[in-house]
Amino acid sequence: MAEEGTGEMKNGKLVRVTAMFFALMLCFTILSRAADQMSVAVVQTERPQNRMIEHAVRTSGKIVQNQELAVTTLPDQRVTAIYVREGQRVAKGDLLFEVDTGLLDEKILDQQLEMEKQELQVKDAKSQKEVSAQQRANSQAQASEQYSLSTGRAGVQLARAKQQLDEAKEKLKKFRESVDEGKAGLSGGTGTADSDVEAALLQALEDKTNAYVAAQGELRTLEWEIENAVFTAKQNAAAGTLSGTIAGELSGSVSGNMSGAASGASLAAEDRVYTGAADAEDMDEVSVETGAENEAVSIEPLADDDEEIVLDMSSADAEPPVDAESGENMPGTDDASITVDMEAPEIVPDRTGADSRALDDPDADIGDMIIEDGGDPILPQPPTQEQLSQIEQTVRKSYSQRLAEAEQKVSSAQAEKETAEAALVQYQQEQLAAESSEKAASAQQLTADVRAAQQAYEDAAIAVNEAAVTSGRAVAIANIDEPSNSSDRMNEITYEQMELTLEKLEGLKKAKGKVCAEADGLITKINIMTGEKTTDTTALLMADLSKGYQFTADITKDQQKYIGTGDLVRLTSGDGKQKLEDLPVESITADENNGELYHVTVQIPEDTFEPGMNVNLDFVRKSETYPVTVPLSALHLDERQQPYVLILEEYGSIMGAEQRARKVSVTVLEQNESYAAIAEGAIGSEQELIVQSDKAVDNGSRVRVAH
Amino acid sequence: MVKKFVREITYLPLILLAGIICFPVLFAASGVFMQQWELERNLAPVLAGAEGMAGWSVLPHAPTLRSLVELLLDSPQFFVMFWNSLKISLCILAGQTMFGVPSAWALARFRFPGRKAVLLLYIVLMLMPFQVLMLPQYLVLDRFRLLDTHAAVILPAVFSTFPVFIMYRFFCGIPESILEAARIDGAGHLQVFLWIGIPLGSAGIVSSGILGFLESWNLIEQPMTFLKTKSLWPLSLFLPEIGLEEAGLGFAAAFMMLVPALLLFLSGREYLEQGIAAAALKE
Repeated sequence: MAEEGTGEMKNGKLVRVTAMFFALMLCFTILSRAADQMSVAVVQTERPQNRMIEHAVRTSGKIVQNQELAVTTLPDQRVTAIYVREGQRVAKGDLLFEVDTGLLDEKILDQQLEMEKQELQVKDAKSQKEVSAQQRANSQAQASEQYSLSTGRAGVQLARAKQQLDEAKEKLKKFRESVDEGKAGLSGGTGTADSDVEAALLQALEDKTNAYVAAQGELRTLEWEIENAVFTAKQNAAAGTLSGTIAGELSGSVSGNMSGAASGASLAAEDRVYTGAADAEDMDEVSVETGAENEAVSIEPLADDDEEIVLDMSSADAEPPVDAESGENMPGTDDASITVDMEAPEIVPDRTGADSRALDDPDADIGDMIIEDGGDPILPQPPTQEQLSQIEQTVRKSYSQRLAEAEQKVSSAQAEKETAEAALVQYQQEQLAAESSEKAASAQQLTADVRAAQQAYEDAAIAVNEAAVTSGRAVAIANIDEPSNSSDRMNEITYEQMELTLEKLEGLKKAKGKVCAEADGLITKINIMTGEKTTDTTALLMADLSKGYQFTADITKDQQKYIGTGDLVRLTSGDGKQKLEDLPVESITADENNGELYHVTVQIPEDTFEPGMNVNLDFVRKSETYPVTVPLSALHLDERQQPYVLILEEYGSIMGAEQRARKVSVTVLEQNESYAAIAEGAIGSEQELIVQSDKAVDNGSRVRVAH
Repeated sequence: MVKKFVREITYLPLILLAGIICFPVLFAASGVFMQQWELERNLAPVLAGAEGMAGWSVLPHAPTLRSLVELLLDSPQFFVMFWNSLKISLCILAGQTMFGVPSAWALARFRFPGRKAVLLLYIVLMLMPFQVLMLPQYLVLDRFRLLDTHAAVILPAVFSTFPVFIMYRFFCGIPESILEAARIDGAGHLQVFLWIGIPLGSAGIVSSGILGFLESWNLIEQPMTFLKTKSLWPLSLFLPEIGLEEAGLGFAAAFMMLVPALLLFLSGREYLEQGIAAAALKE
């Protein structure tokens, strides 16, 4: 019995323990569920909607005038009274302020005295200018006169020398004829033959001399070409691509012109070369080559009957004359043609081109021209002296063969000329030896005379050339324009300005120092103070009320995307009492200083808002209708800045049907501050989107929808 | 003296054997109080594929109740499954009592043609493993649209043959004379069953109930096969859901799962021993 009782008691204990165990399990069940629910985020959801995205543009600005008027007065006037204040409306003709009339009178008097002084200065300047002009005219006349005298004198000497040469030749000719006749009487026919031989030798000598001079001309032309090429290459290297191109063009132009001149010179050398040993008949034209490359100054003694020497100083084209070889200044013009008439010597300068210039050195002068015309040939890194020397050597090397050929040609021509000369001398000596001693003496004398006359003629020709060059230079210098002097005109202008000021001062005096409004307006700014002097700046600023008002405000760059010119906006006064609907936007302009700001203006109808009022602008831009739009609170950005939404998903778990968040990446088509339009396909219209949560929710988080 | 020594010598292997048998229980009990890092260190070679061999220490290095607290206060899923298990087990016990007790009484006390054949069929069915019966049961449950409901687990167990067989043995043990006396006193079949059979066979009924409870508490193949909805799962399916990161939770759950079975065992140990002995007896 006792064992049974113990067993029953034990069983009863075990039953109580078991019951307690299950009771505890029940409690823990409740507790764990409560704890679990505390970790579950309570969310609110919405479904995607079919709607438009509205972009609201709201800003506040001010009403300002369309046009502002500046009221100014003369400086240094003492303000005695100001009759308006800022913000005050004024009508046309209303008195604005007043200046001290006593001080005004003093200013007028001072101005008049200053004007008198200025008038005297004007007169002095005019007188000075007239005197200068007279002096210059005199200098030109003297230079012209000197030119005429010099060239005329030299021409006369040249004519005399030519006459003496002709006479000497004639005598020699007659002597030969007489000798030939005597010989013909003795031997028959040989005298004529001797004369022909001598003539042939003379002709040969003349030809060789011509060839020698032509070769010399070619050599000088080539030398000039080399110097020009070296200069051009250095210029190109120094000036770089752009400047080099310009300089190249210019120097090319000069080079071309120079080449043309050289061609002309060569032509002159061929056709008009002075041949010292030529007969008088062959010396109709005597050409003295002065520049060869650039300029051919030819002296043309015309036929004896019209005794006129023409100094043809025309260059090949319109470039200024350059004496490349002699280094002397050349008188010249762009199209210079100085004709000296022996009988009525006068200078006829043809000044159709630009101002004439005297150039000393061909290279240097061309360089000056290029630098002047080609602009500023400055490079960041100019070539070094070594590079320039290398360039010069390369260019010179390229011309070395031609130069050697030309020099060879000159040498051979000179040798041939000397050979012809020696042949003639030998022949003449043989003739002399063959003749009797008396005749030989006569012949020698005549020959010596001819040579002396020829030498004299040659000297005279050179003298003519030198006279033409020297006096021509003087003429050119005299013709150089004086530096411009505008002091007389400037004095006149100053006087006129003073006159205007005086008029204004007198006008102010006439108005008794009172300044009035020129139009209806609103005073916006006052820059003067009573008792102070006026300055050069504006005295008053006033809004021109007759031109209407406008609303101006600033909007951000984001807002600017949704509002444009012509859009109809609503304006509301700051206190909300006054509203204007459907006013078109007049302009939207970017702020010059801040790229994030834009200025918007709207014209305001008359008698609505007052200038200075604070006014709010409202505008709503509606987009197309999007089938899937979600609240902006449902849109999130992941770590790659890709937008996504969290949708509600139901799933089965041990706890039964539960809900969790699932991340869905989306493409945002458009959005405003409340909604975003999503590209179709990612989410359906029936899906619930988590728009709000009391805890952080991520992909897979368990959630519970709050009802 | 010699007898005593021999007896002690005989106990030694038995003690060793008992220790080996009890080791899993100690294993589970010590795991409950281990910290997560210790569990990971011991079990990583098995559960996480780490190098080396899995180890175990009977006493935790840093004992903690964290796993137990987490299970009890922060794992509502455990309780869902716990109550599911209890629900399934109690329903099965109720069903077996309702249908198994009369069946066993009829087989034990009535003589009818084919009785031996039915009894043989019961024995054969009792010996068949679940894998053999799974497909027929599945098809039948599907036909009756009972799949994925608790009824799919409860109903087959209600009509299990094993408790009938155990109770049959107890009912057979009631002397025929007692039943004769009751009949003479005017008792009908139902009265004899209710007032004589059940009281005298209560040890068998309790015994089969304890065995049935332990079996249904540990059901794992049937729920896994017939239940898809996780919220219907019993506690036996909680442990497969546990990974290495929640090993502590797993041990705590195992420990808690042991408690009801242990309590039941302690309560009905005598009946259980009788029932096991009855099952071992041959007719």
